[in-house]
Amino acid sequence: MKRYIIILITIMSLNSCSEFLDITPETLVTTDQFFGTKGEYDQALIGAYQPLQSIYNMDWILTELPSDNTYFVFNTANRGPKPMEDFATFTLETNNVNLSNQWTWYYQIISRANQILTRIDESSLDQADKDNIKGQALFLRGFSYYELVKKFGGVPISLDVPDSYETSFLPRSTSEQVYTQIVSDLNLAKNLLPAKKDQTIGKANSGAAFALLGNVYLTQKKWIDAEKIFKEVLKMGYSLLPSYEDLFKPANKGNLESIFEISYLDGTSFNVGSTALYSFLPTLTNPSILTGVTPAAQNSGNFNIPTPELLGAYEDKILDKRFSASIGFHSGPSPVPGVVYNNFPFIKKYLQPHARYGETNNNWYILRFADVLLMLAESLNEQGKGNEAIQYLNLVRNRAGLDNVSYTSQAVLKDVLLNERRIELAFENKRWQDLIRSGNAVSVMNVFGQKVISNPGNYYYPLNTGPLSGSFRVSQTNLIYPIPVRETIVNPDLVQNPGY
Amino acid sequence: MNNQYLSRIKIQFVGFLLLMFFISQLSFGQVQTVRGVITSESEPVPGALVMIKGTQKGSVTDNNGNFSIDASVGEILVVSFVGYTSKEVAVIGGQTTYNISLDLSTSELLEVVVVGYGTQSTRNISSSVESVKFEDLTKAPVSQVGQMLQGKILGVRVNQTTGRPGEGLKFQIRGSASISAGSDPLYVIDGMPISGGLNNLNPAEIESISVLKDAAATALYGSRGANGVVLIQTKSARSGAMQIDFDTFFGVESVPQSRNLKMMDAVQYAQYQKEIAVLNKRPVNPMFQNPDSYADSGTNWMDEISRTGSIQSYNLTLRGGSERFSTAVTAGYFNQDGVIVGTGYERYSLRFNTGFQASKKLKFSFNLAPTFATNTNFSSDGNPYGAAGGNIVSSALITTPLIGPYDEAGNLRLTASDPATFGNPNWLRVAKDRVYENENLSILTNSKVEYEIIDGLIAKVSANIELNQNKIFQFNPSSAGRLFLPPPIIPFGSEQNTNLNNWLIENTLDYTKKINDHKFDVLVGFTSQKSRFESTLINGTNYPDNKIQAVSAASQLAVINNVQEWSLLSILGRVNYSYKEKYLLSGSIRRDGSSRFGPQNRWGNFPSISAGWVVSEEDFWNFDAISFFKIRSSYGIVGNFNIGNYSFRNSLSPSNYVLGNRFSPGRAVTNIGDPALGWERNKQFNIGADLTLFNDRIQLTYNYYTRYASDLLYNVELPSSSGFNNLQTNVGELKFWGHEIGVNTFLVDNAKFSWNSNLNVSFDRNQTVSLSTAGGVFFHGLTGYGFSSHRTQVGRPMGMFYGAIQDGVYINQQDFDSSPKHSSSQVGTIKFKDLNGDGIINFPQDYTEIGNPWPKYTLGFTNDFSYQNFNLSVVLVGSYGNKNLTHYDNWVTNLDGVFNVLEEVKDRWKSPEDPGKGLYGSTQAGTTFLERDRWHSRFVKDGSYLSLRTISLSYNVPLKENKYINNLRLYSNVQNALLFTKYPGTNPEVNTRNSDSGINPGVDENSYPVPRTFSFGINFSF
Repeated sequence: MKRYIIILITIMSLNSCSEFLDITPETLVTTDQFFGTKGEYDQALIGAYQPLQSIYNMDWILTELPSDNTYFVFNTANRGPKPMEDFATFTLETNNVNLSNQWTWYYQIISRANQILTRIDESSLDQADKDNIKGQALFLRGFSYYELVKKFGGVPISLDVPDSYETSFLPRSTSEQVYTQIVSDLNLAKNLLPAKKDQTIGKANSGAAFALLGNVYLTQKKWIDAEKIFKEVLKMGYSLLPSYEDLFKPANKGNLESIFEISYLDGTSFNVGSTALYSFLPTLTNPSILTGVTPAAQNSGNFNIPTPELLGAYEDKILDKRFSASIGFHSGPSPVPGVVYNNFPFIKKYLQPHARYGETNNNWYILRFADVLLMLAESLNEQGKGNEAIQYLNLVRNRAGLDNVSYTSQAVLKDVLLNERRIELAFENKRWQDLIRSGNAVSVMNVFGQKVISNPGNYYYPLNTGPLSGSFRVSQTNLIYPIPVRETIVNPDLVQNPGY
Repeated sequence: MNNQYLSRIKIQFVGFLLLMFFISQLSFGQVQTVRGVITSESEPVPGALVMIKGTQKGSVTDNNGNFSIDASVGEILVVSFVGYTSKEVAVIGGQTTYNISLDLSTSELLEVVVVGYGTQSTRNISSSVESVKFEDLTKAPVSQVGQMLQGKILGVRVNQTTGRPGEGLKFQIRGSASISAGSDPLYVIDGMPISGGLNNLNPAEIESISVLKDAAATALYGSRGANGVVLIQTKSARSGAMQIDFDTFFGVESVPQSRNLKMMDAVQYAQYQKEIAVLNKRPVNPMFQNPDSYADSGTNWMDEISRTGSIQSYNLTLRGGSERFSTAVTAGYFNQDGVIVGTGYERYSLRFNTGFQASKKLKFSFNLAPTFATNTNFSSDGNPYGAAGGNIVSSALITTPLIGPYDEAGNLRLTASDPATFGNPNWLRVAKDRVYENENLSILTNSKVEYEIIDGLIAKVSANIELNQNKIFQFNPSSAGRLFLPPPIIPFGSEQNTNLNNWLIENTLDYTKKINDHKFDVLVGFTSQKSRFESTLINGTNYPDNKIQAVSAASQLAVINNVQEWSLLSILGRVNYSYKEKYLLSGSIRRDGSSRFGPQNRWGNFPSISAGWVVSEEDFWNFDAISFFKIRSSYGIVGNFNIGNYSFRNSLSPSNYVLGNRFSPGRAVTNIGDPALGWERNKQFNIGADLTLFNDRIQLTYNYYTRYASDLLYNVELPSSSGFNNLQTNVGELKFWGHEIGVNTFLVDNAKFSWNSNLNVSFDRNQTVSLSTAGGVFFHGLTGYGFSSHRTQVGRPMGMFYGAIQDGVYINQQDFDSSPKHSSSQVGTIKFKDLNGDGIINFPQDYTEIGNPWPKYTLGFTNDFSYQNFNLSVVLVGSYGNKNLTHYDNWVTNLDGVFNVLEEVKDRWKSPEDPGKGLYGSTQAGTTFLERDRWHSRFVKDGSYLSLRTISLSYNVPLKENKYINNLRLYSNVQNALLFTKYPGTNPEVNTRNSDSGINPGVDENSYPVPRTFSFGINFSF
């Protein structure tokens, strides 16, 4: 009998082995299996770029809508978009989903860049590959911190990969500390990155790092540093496209004027197309009457609608080719209660031929040469070099079909430059920061708000509706946004920005 | 399945069979036919079972109590029948007639119940186990096992959280909840821990159900025992004359009008719209100009999408066989047309259990149970905003009553909107046009070999396989829009295919020995289990038209693959010891190794110990009134392994971008892992007593338990600045405790009339003991408004509702001026309490705990009355003191005038002179969001209820003796007969957001109503 028991036990122990419990996920890769080859670092880099697509489908909410360039159509029946409206009416609350999204997405880029940056020096890649990958990761990190510091002020600086609950908690840094980090990252990046001609379209190149660094200096009002950097960019072979309208054609992605742009692609199965356009169109039962794309369904739309102020800011709506290239008009019925479109303006820049409802093939400019020329002009004018500034300004004007302007005074040129940027870069998410940098944001938006409150009909409100009392009480505290409430709840040590 | 392991199973099996072949001795003694009559109190007992002990051989007595069976001298006849004490009689040489008299047993204490890895007499159990037999379950004709168990088992709460056909029963044992790992018990069918729940199990296949509640009972399931274990024993094969049982019932179902939310009718709605326009100084649309003109018209959309549903069920059960072969077959068909148009459930099931007694010592058994279930239950539960297709219940409720589903020509309209509302589809049309097909094929098999090596030592090898194949096909045609997306829409569809394959091999040795007054039962075992789940989801969007529904017709496809795998390796052991059946001692241990846990914490030990003392067996016991008195206590450690399969790893997932104007696939680190991730441990203590009083007329059971859940698994929130939002880790400790009282009485028990009443009451509590998160608190639940709906904080019960406290509305300017305000507040808007006293209302500064979702107690009360051939059974279930969070207020009380709203909204603030009841604020455009987009006390409502769950009446038709029919029973039943509650929602048991963990209890976002069912059935035995 003993014999049988032994046999039995032997049989029983047959399937005991420890590798039985080691199961490797088949649809995931673990970090210890990754970060070896160049291909893997390239993939990790793509992963770091990826949140940019989500960000720039929505960035206009934080950077164009609060300005006097655009507004929205108040829909009495659909109050879901209130978190977007709150940016336009200065009634933001700490739980705004658009804020928490951006916060999360930018930190995803930073974290993914950190995953690369903490490993790349030890990797066995060729030096050229190492430099290129490291340069892009630094650019993306610097870019993200720049966007965060402009929107939220001093934010936590994460330069490492957390490995536990405790190490994931970081305090806020001052905005000076954040700027120091940005400048450091971009200075490294600009020297590591290859030139545009040697870099795939969509990836950051040395020109992008230079231009972004110049932009950072400009924001810091370090005019001399900005001028120096922008002049480096002038030497890098960028030029204005002859036609403003052509800038926005999907066929011209990565053109001579483009310095850094967010890439999108329609027609794939992976949701990598741009969706912003459908928020900008008038809400229509059948938007194919504007897009030509069928089948179509009722779009969300009616946001980022050009204001009468913007329409009035064009010197000449006929001569300035940017008017017809940027703004379209629509008349007809609307499914929104109390709304009829009567010569209703909408953003036309991004209305380009595409194949499928809801998804377009537009890239989104972050930096282009015209922007650099105007920033250079601004940095010169601020140093009192108005006459030199004028020549860069006129390059931009001439391309648009406008005559040269001549220098009268620093103050006048400052206003001219601000308006030129408003027109040239309309709907490219520059206006709100331009207003802040010029020091005009509070006064301009209070004036604008009073107009909306006294004449809501001019700002697309249906009859007998208008902004709430409490809207448009713009002060200095409105110039940065609140830290998302989730973050202050999870980490009670994060101090909220004043006024929220 | 991995081939390596498959072949290992094979080797193991073949090896064992060979072994059995060598050592089996196919010998039987002298066989003779024995006969006799089974009686009780001089009356014959028909249908009693006469078995040869230790075999599958058996026979059933006829209507006169006669039996005949082949038996050898020395074998023992075991006679048993429900309600009687079993009796054993040895077969003696030369005697062939055995007239055996059975004693009535009202006590269930002598029952044998299924426990983990074996059976045990209830008398000898020192842990906490409850069991229910099939006979007690089948009184109510229902489709789901869970429905039968409602109110029946002490310490087990079975809530019907939704009325979706074939779904919705949620088990909670001893108030179990984990802060993130699942709270569902482990379901074990014939020894196989299954992957899913019990939704598709045909109740007719069940012989008994045991619920293991304390650690001493569940520790043999180790890392999976924390939430309790539900053991299901299916009807086993049994030899003897073929017994055929056929049961069928039909029923109609409908939702009592009183249970639906009371929305405004057309007149009230038009008046409401008119008042909104006037208040906002807008022109009144002609449609709302004369509300009274709608006095005889208007549409109740809930009625439009509802219908009278029906159920039908057929079950055929065959049992019998020879002494070598025996079999039990149950074939079932069930069909339900749901009370919401377009929904339904259908189930074909077969169970084939066979036994083969190869020799006295060698026994094989094979169970094969395929089930094919389909349903057409498209999305119905939850808010009207989300879900790709929209949830029909919440959406229909808020659709304008001024537009009906049909146009003047009698055709279904495409949309149902009025000038004030945003575009809405016609929900009746959506219900009819939307395609949803869910097909599920599952096959459960158990193969078992048992060999009695020496007397009392049994070796068992079992191989169990669970296979499941599921396909969900959906197609949303252009007419199936949703809120904010009125049709025509661009058609979209999806197809999801999943495959599950879960196998378990168990090897056990069980030795039972009695030496004088000492009785031992020793079990050792070794098991391995592996489960693999694969799914492929194809989402098709941008269909050119409705003509071809297959996903391949879509112009854009996205494929999502998922593979989930886990394995578990265990050794286990148990010793039961009893002395004179008076002192009971039991100890068990299981050592589990799981692939789900980090290498540093891969193995866990789960020991338990229990002891019992049958005081009434002592010589000094001379209280005649108390015939049985047992005290028992247990302590043990069990685990909870319900976390993701790969959580402890740092992992990357696809993250794509566009480079060079080409799609570029990339990867991003999306999960931060904790390599020290380990078991959630539950230290459980139980003390209890069982008492039998007054000649077994009253049985009492009492339990007190405590449970410390430490190393809680939680997907804790991280600051997003880390690049991650969550980390699955062990964060803290919870304490659960409670009292359970069961009273079972046989107050009247005579030949003509009997009354059995069973009351069970449970008081379950929990408290957060410690948390390692910042501030000893964390927030969870619904986060849609940027603030979480639930809060778990040290010192408080977990998952408390969290929000602001409503303090009426700002009645007039004076009230407004003198009260703290939010930046959006105006005269007439909702007023909250300024809890931190800073003079302004803001969030979360003015948030606090606003309600407790846990009941103070729950109860079940079953009364059975028998009078002659009639039997009446009435089941009451109830819950007291729990609050629900009616998130549906967000849409059914939306004051923008874009939806239909609750009738009571007519008593809102209209002017300082007409401020309403202080519940609902002004409809001034743009001022209303605070009232609906913040968690506050108006959403918290008392969820206490008492439900008359089942009334069933049956009649045993007295039959003259005949060759054909043994028994004929007619029955009728009302399910969900009456509900007593103050809760305004459709279903107080609702839990729209509580599919898994139990951490976000009590959320009501509108769900499929639970219908009242009237049914009638017939049961024949041949």
